Amino acid sequence: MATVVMVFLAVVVLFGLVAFHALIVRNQTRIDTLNAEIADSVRARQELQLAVAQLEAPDRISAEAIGRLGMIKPAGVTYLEPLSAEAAADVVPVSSGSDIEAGDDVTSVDNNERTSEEAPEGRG
Amino acid sequence: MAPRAAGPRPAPYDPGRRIAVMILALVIVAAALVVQMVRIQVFDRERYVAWGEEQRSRSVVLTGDRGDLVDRHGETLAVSMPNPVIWVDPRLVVDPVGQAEALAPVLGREAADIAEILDDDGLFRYLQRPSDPETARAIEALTDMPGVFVTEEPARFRPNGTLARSVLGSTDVDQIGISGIERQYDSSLAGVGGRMMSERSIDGRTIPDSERIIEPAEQGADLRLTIDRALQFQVERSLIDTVEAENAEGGMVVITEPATGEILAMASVARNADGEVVTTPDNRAVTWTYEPASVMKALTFAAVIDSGLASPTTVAAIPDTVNLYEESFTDDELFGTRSMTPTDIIVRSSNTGTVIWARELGATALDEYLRAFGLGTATGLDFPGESAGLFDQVEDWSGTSIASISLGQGISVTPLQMLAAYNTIANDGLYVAPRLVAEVSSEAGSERPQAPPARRVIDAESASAVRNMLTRVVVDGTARRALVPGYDIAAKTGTAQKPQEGGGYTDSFGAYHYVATVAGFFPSEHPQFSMIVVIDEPAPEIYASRVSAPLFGELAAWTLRHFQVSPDTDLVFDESAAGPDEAGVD
Repeated sequence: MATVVMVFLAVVVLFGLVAFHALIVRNQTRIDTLNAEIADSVRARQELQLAVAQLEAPDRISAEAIGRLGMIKPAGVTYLEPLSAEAAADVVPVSSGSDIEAGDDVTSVDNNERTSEEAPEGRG
Repeated sequence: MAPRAAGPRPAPYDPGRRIAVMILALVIVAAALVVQMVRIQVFDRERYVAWGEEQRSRSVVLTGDRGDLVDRHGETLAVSMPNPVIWVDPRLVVDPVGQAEALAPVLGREAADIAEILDDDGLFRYLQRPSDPETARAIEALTDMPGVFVTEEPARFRPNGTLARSVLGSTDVDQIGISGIERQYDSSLAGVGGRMMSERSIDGRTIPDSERIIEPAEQGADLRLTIDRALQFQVERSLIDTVEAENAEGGMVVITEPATGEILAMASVARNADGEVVTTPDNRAVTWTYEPASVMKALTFAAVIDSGLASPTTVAAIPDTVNLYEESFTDDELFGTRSMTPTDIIVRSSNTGTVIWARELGATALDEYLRAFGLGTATGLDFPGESAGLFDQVEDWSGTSIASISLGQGISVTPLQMLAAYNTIANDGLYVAPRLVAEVSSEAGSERPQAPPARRVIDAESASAVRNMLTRVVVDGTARRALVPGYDIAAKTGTAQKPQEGGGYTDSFGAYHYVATVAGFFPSEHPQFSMIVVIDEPAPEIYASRVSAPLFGELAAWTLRHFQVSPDTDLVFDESAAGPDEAGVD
């Protein structure tokens, strides 16, 4: 009886070792697969980083804006001066039913004073 | 019953003999096996161990990627990526001519050239390096192409094309920096390759619990430059437009932050062989020297005022001609003699007024001040090929040197040197060395590269006085076209004759060539930015006040807007200021 038990235990241990080894092999395969996926992801990230940088290049954006979207360089810049507290109080809110229509200039900016024209010789 | 055959009786069966033969055979076989085992395990052990390891071991090279270059906001300027290369093992090539004919249209090369490589006696030849993904895929799609392989190696990519190319520089095919920042910081940028050794089964799987040796690769450090990508783009585009419009040979623009010395934009453009204006691979803002002419007058008067000889309002009688030894120094306008202050002299860019005050200062003092402003010495940027300019020792000056040098002739500087000197005036008299690299980041951490310490050149009051004088130059003087509505701008113009090969200032046809410069800073009361614009050989218009000043104003306006510096609400743009120069041209 003892011999049978010993043989049985030996078989169990043997199968256990085989199963353990199979588990190790399977996990190693999994590790190899994950390492390969990491390498692929790193590569993809680098490619995307380069693609983003190329898309953000000022030269490309400028060409797209002018060539495809039909934009033009502004002749000058208009600065808007914030209203003082007193002046702001005098501004009639649009929602009050005034006669303001679309297209009306509703700012109270003194454009004569704050409008920036082109620099001398028109290079601005 | 059948009769038994007559004759001798057969020998009786002897199993012992057969067993003996069998045992002998087994012993012989066993002995042979033992001998073989001893040979393998004892005498040839090393060879078989090595053979086994060779079969199991796989060595993978771990690349240490070259570090990235990014601008001050982290926008990518240069990056390294794996890129295909196509190579051949000529020993494995079966049909050099036939394979070459198949490869020729894919590689875009002559079949005969390719066949010569395929027929080589060596073990390894490149067919295309660097290649590109499309070509690599086409090569891999070719059938019956023994001996031709595609592999990858790091390559340098610049997603912004030629933007800032003179600053960034370049690398060779082996990823070694050969110019610009790539060369200057090559040791920091370069990665160190590593190696991973592992044991693999015949199907390529890692053998569990086997020996694994990893020598980790070290990634190269990333460099964050002080350059602003958007401003750099605008500067290059506007500079190219101006050089084309003014029919010039080239030009340079540098924009810095005076307080820190950080270079925000640095551009060099020139005409190529086809006459097209393009950005140069050479960073001429630090490698090219020229006689700066009248922009030097601001430094001369900074010295005069700081030494206590005069204030901006000191009145002196200034003639229109000063004779010194055999040379005469005159102004464009012959006005006889009139009373002028140093401010008037700077605003009108009077040569004679500058010479008279420079002689009052003396050669030794002028020499000391100009050297303290950084002239005659490299800026400390350590950029590859950076020039220190040409500035004779005062002992070697001739009798007229004090006059010519005070006017910016007989001395040569780089555009960056001159801008660093103007930064000193902007910085209340402190010289701050320019810098291009804000941060070096590696796995070990980040560090800011050391720069020479700031040093005092003139006192704060003197610097403030000169700033006010330079502001007047833009309001009333020769730099009016540099005016930016809503902002105080301080600047000085200078139009220099350009020395010609063989000496003298005229070419073989007797014609002069000019360099037009505007240097300054803004807003002038509390300068946040400084700029120098240099236009090389404009024609027919030659004066900086008309050639360079408009570009200065355009870029100053763009810079102020880009960095969201609000206009001064007390400054109202007077449209009458848009008229012609009132104080002459320079």
